[in-house]
Amino acid sequence: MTECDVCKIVNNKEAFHVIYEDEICFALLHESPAVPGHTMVIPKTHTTIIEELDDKIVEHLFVVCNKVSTILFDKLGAHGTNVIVNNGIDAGQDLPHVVINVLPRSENDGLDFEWTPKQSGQQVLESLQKKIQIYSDPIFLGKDELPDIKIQKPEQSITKTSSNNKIEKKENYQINNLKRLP
Amino acid sequence: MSAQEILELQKKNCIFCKIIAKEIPSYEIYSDEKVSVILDINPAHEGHCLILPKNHYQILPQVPLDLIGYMFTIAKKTSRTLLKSLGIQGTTIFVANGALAGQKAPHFMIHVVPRQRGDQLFKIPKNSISAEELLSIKNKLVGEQIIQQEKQEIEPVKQEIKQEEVIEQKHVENKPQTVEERIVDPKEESKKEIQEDVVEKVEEELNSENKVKENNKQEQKKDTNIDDIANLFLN
Repeated sequence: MTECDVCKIVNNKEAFHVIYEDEICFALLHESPAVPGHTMVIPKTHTTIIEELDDKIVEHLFVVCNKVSTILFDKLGAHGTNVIVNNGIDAGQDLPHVVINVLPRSENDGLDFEWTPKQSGQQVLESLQKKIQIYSDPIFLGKDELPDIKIQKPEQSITKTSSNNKIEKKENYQINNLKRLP
Repeated sequence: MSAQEILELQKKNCIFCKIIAKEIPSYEIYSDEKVSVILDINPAHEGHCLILPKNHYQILPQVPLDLIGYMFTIAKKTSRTLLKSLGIQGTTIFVANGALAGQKAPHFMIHVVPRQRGDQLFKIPKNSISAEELLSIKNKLVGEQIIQQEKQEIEPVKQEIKQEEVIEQKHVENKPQTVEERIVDPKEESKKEIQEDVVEKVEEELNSENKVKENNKQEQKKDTNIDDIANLFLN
């Protein structure tokens, strides 16, 4: 089985800018950040989408996200933060491993996560509510068994060619870094 | 108005607190003693859910840690519900902290948004950054603590070496340094005092009031000198 790119980071942390680590997860600075200070919180166990993670790990991950968020406020002087998890290829997930993005925000930083609000009518909302509740009750009561989510996940094979290039670049980048040292 | 009063006023006017109190109708998906999950009436996509804490908090850092954990397990379950019930292929869990991050109401909430391929929402751009800038950010975020710990570890060791190896030197150099620094200055001050006394005697003949002023100045000088020394020791 080929190892996931993110799992490779776990085994080679020295090459990355890790700002926090514990038994369950770690937080590191993004190498190609949306804004300076863009941090990723990553669970150490290999999981592709957040639905597959244990509740206890999810709890812990977001408590760490809160910590990171607080540090970004205090140390980088951020005026706001965003926490974003994209789940599934359709949501724009590009790595086959759960990644929580924490972004420091400031004025005119070029980021835009606003959406155009749709005006849903009462009937649409009522029927949606009924449709969703059929599934929500067993899930929230914990009576829903885990598998059989039909979701297209990012797979290693799809991203393999591009990810190999990435790794080579990273290695070059590390070598360049070494060369820069006096 | 105190901060608490402002918060009370904010709670009174908060639409989401009213929704939770059922003063305003909503399309509820799930509710328990801690949180409420409702459909957003102005969604990014149909099925857009909001996870609201029942207590009023403005931003994430204000929310108690156990509640943060709990809210995100609910977000996970909501995401799973949406995937199953709407037959979609992806969701985004989104939090905005602060108006600049896109927060619209002063009540903390987690958005769970159903996604469609190519909908161009929540696109996180990738920009290049120099290695130096990355490192300086890392140092800003964690560097200070790490460096302080290292300093604390290193400094006592150096002091121990000094104590063991250079005890004699310490007796010769350090003691006079520390004690003299304190003593020498007053001596010099006394010399100054003597010189000033001579001046004063001359001045005394001219004006007696000036003497009082001079004395005051002398006292002030002494005070500042002591403060300076104290500051040096603190450094």
